[in-house]
Amino acid sequence: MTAIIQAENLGRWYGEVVGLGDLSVEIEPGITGLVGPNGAGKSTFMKLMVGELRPARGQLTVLDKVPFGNRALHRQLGFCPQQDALYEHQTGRQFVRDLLRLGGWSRREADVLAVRAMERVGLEDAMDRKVNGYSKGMRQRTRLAQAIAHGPKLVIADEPLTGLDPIARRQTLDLFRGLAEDGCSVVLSSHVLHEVESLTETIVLIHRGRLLAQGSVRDVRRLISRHPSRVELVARDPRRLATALLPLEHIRTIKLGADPGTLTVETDDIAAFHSAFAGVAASAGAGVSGFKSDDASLEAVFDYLVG
Amino acid sequence: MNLLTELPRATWLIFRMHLASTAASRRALAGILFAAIPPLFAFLAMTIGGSNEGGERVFMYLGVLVLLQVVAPALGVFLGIGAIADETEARTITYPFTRPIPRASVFLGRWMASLLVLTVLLLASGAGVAAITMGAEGGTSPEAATALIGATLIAGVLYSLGAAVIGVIFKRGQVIALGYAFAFEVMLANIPGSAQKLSLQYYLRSLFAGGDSADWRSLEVFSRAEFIESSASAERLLITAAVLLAVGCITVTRKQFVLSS
Repeated sequence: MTAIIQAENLGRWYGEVVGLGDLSVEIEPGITGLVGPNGAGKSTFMKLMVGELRPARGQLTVLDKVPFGNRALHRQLGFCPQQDALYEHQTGRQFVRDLLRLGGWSRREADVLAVRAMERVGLEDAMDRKVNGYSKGMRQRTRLAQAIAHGPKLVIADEPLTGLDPIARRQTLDLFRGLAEDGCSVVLSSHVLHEVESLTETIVLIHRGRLLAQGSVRDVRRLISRHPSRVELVARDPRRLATALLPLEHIRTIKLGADPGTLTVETDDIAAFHSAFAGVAASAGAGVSGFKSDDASLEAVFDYLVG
Repeated sequence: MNLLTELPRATWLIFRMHLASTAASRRALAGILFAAIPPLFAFLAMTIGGSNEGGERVFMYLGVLVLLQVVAPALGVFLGIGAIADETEARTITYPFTRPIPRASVFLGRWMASLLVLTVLLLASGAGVAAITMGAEGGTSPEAATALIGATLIAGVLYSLGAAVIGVIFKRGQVIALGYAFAFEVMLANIPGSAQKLSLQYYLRSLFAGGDSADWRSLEVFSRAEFIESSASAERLLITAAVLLAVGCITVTRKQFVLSS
């Protein structure tokens, strides 16, 4: 598959602050999650991808084009920025329509597309209200609407789920899935990892401006197979449960939690732990009431990778 | 679409997008108050002051010292500086810059929206002064009034354009633009001798200083300068405007605007 985004030794500084250190990565079509903690360089990478900034070093192509000031690329690109900024004097519909007009659409076409986009993000009832009266989530969805309204080949969304209530978050995730089904690639960033995980298996992990890992969650897990998997347990008698689990061969550590009744188990073989746990817990009679394995979650992967 | 067809189209769309918000902005509201100053002064001069100097002289002094030298630069800076600076401050510049339009159109469209508001304010202010001073004894002639108001509008174009360019280049450009307009320009324009030729004010005054009446000829004495022909002056102001436009467009096309998240 041809990569839609290719970065090679990409670097960008803000004065003496490193926004992006030395990033080499290829992103293929589909939905890709760009994850990393705050300050990892996700937003800088996205600003480079959409041509808002120029790299200080290295090379970057998006849809085979150099992004900065590239009008041909901007026809194929939709960008939902992180900053909560809109033209406050406009309604949501006007905002999306006027930006569509800049893309070359006629007034009538732009209006139809704007309405369609606002409906798609669930703002059809509010689209004729001024955006300065919108809630944070509505503003976020308006930003998303302008990014998808013109039917781009690639949507780049910086923290698009921030500020959304659970229903809107679900709608937005569905929207991204829908875009992908329509053949549109999506690159979205998040530091709330489970949100990305629920949307895509393909992730790019960035930390301190560098690529930490790339691939599916399972690929990344394989890369770090030397690290243990973690299971959080809640039990009436956690000490008894710990004593019962300790003889298992694959158990690496057991830690009693700060909260009463909690303990965290680290195991080198999560599958073996899963099959043995029920029997051990039953025979120990420790009253297990909670079991949370984050074996495959991005949170666990990320925690392990960044130490 | 190529650049030559896309630039005017996108400029027009940006202009329309921002005209209403520019007209209703705090900058414009402050501009209304500022624009009211010259007519107020004219009224005071013609009523309380008794207009013993004659309408034309009052118009000339108010026109040159207040309208042209203070109000036009001040409004030009206040309204012009926001062309790109307001977009970066509000962090909305991402939107037009990720659209398939020439970046220069954002600069041009927003500046033109500011310019229209500015022109209306300056025109109202100048016409107000002219109307108040025209009716009195020794009132100014319509030709002289038109020439000075015309020069004021040209001043608005140049100062707002200069401020817009400064706003593109510098992050906190307002201080620099005001410094230029009210320190550098005022100093140069009022120092007797050829140093005046380094100021915009000199060329702006040259546009109307060749009036027929003694009052208008006295401007040369008052300014302690030898003004050039109005056509030569217009030519230099046009070149200045063209250079500023080119610098603004090129800078906005090449510059990276780093926005805080």
